[in-house]
Formats: sequence, C-alpha cells, structure tokens
Amino acid sequence: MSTETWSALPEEILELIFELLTDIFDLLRSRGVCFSWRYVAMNLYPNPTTPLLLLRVKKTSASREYVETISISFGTTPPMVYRVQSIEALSRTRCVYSYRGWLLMETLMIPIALFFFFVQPILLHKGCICKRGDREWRKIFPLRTFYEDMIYYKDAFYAIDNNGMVERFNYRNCPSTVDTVSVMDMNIIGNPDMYLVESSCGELWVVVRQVGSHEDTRRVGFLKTKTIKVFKLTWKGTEVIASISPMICGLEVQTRVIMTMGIYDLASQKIEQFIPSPKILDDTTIQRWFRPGI
Amino acid sequence: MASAPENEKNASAPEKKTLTLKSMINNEEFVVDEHVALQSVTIKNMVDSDCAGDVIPVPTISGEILALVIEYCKNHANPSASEDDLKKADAGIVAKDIYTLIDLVLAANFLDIKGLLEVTSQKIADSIKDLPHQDVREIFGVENDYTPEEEAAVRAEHDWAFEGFP
Repeated sequence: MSTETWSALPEEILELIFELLTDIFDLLRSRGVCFSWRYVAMNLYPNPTTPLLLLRVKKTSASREYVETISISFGTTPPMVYRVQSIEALSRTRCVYSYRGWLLMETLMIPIALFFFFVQPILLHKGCICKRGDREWRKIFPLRTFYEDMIYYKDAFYAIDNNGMVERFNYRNCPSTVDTVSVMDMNIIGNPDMYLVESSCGELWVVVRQVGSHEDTRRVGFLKTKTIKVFKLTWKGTEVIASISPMICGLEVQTRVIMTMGIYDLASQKIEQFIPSPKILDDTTIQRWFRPGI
Repeated sequence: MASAPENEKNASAPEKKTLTLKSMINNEEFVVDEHVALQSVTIKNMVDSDCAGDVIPVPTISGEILALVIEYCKNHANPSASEDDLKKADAGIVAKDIYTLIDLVLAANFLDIKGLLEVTSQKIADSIKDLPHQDVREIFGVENDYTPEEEAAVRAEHDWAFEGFP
C-alpha cells in the first residue's frame, strides 16, 4: 500500500482528471475540497461568461414539444445540439451558458423569456422568444449580427446592434415582422456600447456609452466610460417612421473609477457607480443548471 | 493477467531485445521486451541517450503497480489486438480501488505513458461522480485547509452545485 496521498498529485494530473469530469456539478463541488483543488478547478473552468447559444422551436408529436439549442463553438469542435423537453421548464429563463451537455438558465424577473446570442456574422442564426404563459416560441426573423441590447417595450421587441441599427420586432405576429431604423446619425464615433432602456417616464431611450482606455497606467487594459449620450426613440404605429430626438443629455464622465454599471441621475447629471450587492443579484436572477433530455 | 505466461515466453525469445525494470520500492524485477517498455517516453529517453543499464531502476513505483503498467504496455504493443480488445483490457486494468488508481496515475505520469494516463484519469474522474466533496476529501486523503468560514464561502459561490449534498 502506498503512502502517496491524493493531495500529492501534481497539478497537471488533477487538471487532466477535472477535464474528464462530465458533470459541471462534480467539477464545482471539487472546489470545496481544498485550496489546491479549487485553484486547479477555477483555472480550468472560470465562472460562466457570454452564452453562445442558438435556439429554435420544433414540434414533434401532439403531446411533445421541445426546444433544440445549439451552442456555437468558435474552435474546431462542431456545434453541440441539445434538446430540451417541456418549454414550460424554460419559460421566463434565459440561457447564459452551456457546458458539457448542461444549459445554465437564468430566471428573469421581467415577464418574458428571451433567447438571443452573439454569433459571428457569417453564421446563419435564428432566434425565438416566449412570454410568460405562451404555449410556444415565437420566431424572430431575421436576427442580424451582434445585438448590443434588446428590450421588450409596449408589445414589441427592440434590438440595437453595434452599428446603431435599431430593429423592432412585432410580438403579435409569428413569425414577427421587422422594422428597421438607423440611429447612426447621432454623431457617434468609434465603437460605442449601445443600450435600449425604458425611462421612468415611459419613453424608449437609446443610450450610447463611449469607452476608452484608462489613463491610469496601472489599470492598463481596463476600459473607462468616457461619455454617455441619451436619445429618445419614437416609433409611430406600424409604419417605419422612427425619429431620434436631439441628444437629451450628454456628459463627459470624470470619475476615475472603473465602472461596469452606473446609475445616471438626470437632474444632477451625475453617474454613481452601481455595485450590485449579492442580495440584489439574488433577488433578480436565479441561476440553475438544466440537463437537457435526449 | 491471463496473457502473462505467453508474453514471458516471448520475452525470453533469444532474437528479441529485453529490458529489466526494477521497482525500487520492493526490488521486484520485470523482464520485458524492449518495444513494450519503450511505450514509456521516460524509458525511451533513457535508452535513446544510453542512460539505461542492464537493469532500469524505477523509483517510487511498487512492483504491484509496475506489473499493471507492464500489462498495459504489453496489450498495447500487440499489433493484432483489436480496438475492442484493448478497451476491454484497459477496463480490466483500471478496475481497481482508488488507492491503486492513484498510484497507477502517478506511475503513468512518471513513466510518461499517455494512453494509460488517460484511462486511469478517466476512471478516477468517474469515481468522483456524485460524491459529496467531504467524501472525496476523505477517500483521497486530502487535508482540508479551509477554515469553516472559507469553506462556506466557496460553497456559496456555486450553491446550486452543492444542493442536496451535506
């Protein structure tokens, strides 16, 4: 009998073993064993990041329906196809990650489940959405490339891409119709972040955040918010008449703090850094892993 | 195991070059065909650089484990073995308790035998499945270096993964 103990295993062997774990649960629980296990497991699999998923609806028989999801991989591995039975299980959730046959679903507190994804422009992509209570997924065609943000606002979906194109998807029709308007005549330079927000007064706003590199050399590689511009988006009826208001406000951001989230106060024209407390995150999102049926 | 006598016959065939591997833990010696032993990159490097004498000492690996390693190498050096045969044979070699598997994975790593490293690691990964981390710790003899607070914090990072576990 050997006196060698497991903890004496070289890191590369531990890593190899962890790579062969087929279940994310096992890998994450292994972090609880000791510091060195946690270190290896975390290096191998950091926390979930951007989802790369594609979903579409399929109906098989009268009693059965399932969603097929495909995770797009950018490497040499072929896309994985998952089948998820029972759409109810996924309603009001959004897929934020897929890993080894598992889907990480995030429960949304807004009354809509939204599936969308960032894929390379060359890839054909489709998407679907469903509202709480819906019996089936609604297709959105055609999804364009790289949406920066999406919002459900007054019975329609709005999506903005990184070129400032806003698309409106009519939620009532299925497949939905799409109207498009460009908001690029806003004197925007560079490659800003675009957000669609519903203001507290019920208007639809386009928020453009310009980022730049940080002057502080110790924070090299970090991005810093430089300017934020807010525009009001008006879309009349079913016609493609959209207008962009003159800039409602714009500001130079003076803070030296690296902000990932901020709350902008219109009255004082100041941005306060918003650090979501674990409590807030708990209240708004619930993440759970979902093992797709086969 | 069943094929051992036949292989030993081969090993003693005069036209074949053999190597003697010696476990430095219990001084057990194994005579194996050179082409069998050369599946170990470590041994191959020793032979290639003329560092290998008549007897190659193998530190930290017991005779029991070395026998398993040699069994694996013999199976995989047999050109007539089918893929299915090899799979079955591999499964037989790793059908051992966890302590043996740990020794075996260390041996495969030391001797640099990629295939054996993989099948052994896979078996160990399978044996971790669905185990509470406390059990993993106990079975594998890992010292818990977390304080209770730290351990609670690590659990809290991915609470859902620990759901239903003690």
